[in-house]
Amino acid sequence: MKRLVICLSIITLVMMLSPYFSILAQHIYIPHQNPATAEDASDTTSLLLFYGNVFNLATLRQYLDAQNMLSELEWANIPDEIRYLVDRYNDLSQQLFTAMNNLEFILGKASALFSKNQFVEARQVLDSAEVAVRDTVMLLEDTETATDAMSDKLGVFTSIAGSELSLAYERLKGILERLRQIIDELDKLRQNLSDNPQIVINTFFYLTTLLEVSAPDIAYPGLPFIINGQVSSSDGIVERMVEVFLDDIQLADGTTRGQFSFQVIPPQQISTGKHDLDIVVTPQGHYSGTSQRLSIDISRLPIQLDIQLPRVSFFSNSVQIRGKVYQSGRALEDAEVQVTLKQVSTLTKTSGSGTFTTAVNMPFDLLLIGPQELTITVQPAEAWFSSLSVKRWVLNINAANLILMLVIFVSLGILIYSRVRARPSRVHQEIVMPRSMIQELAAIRLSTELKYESTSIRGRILSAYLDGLSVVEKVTGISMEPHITLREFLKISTPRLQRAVNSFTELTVMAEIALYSSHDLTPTIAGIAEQIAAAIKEEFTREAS
Amino acid sequence: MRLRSFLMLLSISVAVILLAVIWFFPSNDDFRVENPFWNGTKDMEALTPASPLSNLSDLPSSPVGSTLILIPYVNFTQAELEELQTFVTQGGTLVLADDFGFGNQILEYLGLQARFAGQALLDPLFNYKNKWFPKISHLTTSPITNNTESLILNHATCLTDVESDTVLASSSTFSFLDLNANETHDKNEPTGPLPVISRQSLGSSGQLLLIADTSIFINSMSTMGSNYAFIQNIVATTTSRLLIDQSHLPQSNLGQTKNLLADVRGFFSLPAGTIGLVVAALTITLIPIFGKKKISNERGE
Repeated sequence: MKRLVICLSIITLVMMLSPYFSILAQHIYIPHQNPATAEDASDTTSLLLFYGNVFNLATLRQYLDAQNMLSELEWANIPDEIRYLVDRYNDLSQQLFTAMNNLEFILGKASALFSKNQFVEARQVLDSAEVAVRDTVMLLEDTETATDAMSDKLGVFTSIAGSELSLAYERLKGILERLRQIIDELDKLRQNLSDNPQIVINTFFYLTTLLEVSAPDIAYPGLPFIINGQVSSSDGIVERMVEVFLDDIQLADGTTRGQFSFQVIPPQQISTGKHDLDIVVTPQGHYSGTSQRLSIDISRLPIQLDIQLPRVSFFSNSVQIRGKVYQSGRALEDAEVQVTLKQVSTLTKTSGSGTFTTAVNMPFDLLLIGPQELTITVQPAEAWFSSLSVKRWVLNINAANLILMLVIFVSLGILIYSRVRARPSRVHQEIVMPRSMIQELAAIRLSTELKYESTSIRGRILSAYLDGLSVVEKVTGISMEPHITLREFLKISTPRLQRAVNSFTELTVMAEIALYSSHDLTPTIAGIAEQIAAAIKEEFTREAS
Repeated sequence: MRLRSFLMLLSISVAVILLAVIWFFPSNDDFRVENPFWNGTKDMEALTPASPLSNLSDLPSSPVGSTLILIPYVNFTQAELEELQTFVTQGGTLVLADDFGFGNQILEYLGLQARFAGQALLDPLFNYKNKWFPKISHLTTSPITNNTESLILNHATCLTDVESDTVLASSSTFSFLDLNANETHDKNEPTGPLPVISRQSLGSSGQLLLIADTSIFINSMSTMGSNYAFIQNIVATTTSRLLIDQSHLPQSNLGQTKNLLADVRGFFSLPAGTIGLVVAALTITLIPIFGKKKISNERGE
């Protein structure tokens, strides 16, 4: 018993603590963190460094690249309190780059006119270049002012000299100064060109390309559709290369001058849903490239399916299914029809009239009676039709399982019946004194004490009880009936026992032990019982006298 | 009630309660499809027709049109590498999402040049909240990046030795690879744009999509930026089965115990297991009757 208790205690303790073992045996560290609880840490130094990189591109006269890079800031993590300032600063910078590009374009145009000896026109263009220089200088000054304002907001002027933030600011200021020098150089070129028209100057500018495109909103895999459009640029219409992509798949390309029209076919394997249709005009000389992205919905035409199948399957091994597949009244030929019932499936194809007939076997399971789900999937042969999947229920009645369950329930019924029969007798035995025992007690009382007055300890105790009992019966006037247990008799007689209550209670308990307990009885107990019986007798005798 | 019976009942009760707690308490293991917390992939399983794969030997024999999402945080055996190679070369698409795991083992086995860098990709400017969450806005047009404006990664790395025409997404020009793990950019450290997603071809029809971050699929990240659109694009390019490997993820004791219980339940849900259970239950309950009969026969009653 002790060992069992120890074992069970250890097992219980181990089971209770087992969840915590996982803490001791945690898996390897996974390098990621919950974004919801991640610390928000914007890096203002990086912002100034980034602007430095952008203006650096402008100092290399790569204005388009600088503008593209600047537009990336849309994705930057910028604190809300400076977001407005940053947006304004970006607008200003974009204007500056456009102005510088325009200045170079004007200078290049003037140079070209001079080389063609068109002096009057060239002078007019040079005049506009002077205006462009003024505008550019003004924009640069505004940008410098805005840089200081933004840097002040970012805490540059309160930061320690030599800190990363102040170094980033110094770098940006230096690059802006270089930009001023470039504008001055362009202005000098303008003056030189005015004084000496034979000078040929190298300029770095781009001409904006304009693109207009129209395409249908919906397209179907494998079915062609038309894309129309027009390409132009700021100085007129020139021959340009146009490419059409659906996602990254090139559908068409060609050289065009002005308007264009392409017939394209979406791939048959393309997924349905929104896709990007990109029309790209590649860069060419001074002409910048451009592209336009249209959203196109790739869809498939819906099909219809008529099915005929039994609602109930009685003891059947298979289910017969017939049907017809069509789209807007037109029968679909060679469409694959798959019928699946749990893990079992069967495949067939539709005929020229769009009809099909197939049967699927019932899988083995323990279901007695109940609905079985059939899945019928249709895959048309043409890519532009959508597939279709429908579910139907068939009530299946399984004879084999019914018999098996019947056996199980009959067995359980037998078990429960036998248990119910067995239980009452045991309960009765525990609570009520057995009739045989009562008869035995009565026999003891009626026959004489001889049976138990022998050397048996049990006999001595019961004899002592009977002695006490006879006195109590006499005094209280209550008789011990055969249907009354010892304890019931004690309970009935207690109110009339007065001072002998404790003694008779003790004697009753001893008699019960002698009768029902499996414990070994000692002669001492028998002696005590006899003493108690004698004491009860003496008590009532003294009271009577 | 006797003490022995009480202790037996107590032990059985505690065992049943513990098993119930283990069964019903949700998993918190990283990337597990049954984990509903921030680091699980339950949302992805719920929002897409993805099925968990507990063993690479269960890969479909005809993998054309199927996609396997693999997060390799456990070493691969030779047999598993062969299974993967067969899957890819026979037309399956392998989405290999890795940062600091065992992805390079697969790439090496498949004979590809591309590698996961294995160091942290940080972006102090283009990020979500902080530099550990780089925001990826340089995306090339492809079915995988359809309707995707920007992706947000979580403790990612980058790809190395990839051809530029295979790159589908790159980090910003301001990002850098933190080679010495000091969280600041040093002169010798590569700066962006660095490739983070690349599509590789293997054989005539095999495709690999390399993603230099594992966390893009977890519940807390899948809805950030255009991550969900990106995942949907992976789903859309799958014409057959979409599988999420669960066999190469680290597992806690709780997860192991849950798996064991699931195996036991799976066994009993089979016809043989169910019949066995019924027979065992009948035998146990009918033993007292047979025992009584035997005793009665012995007594000659």
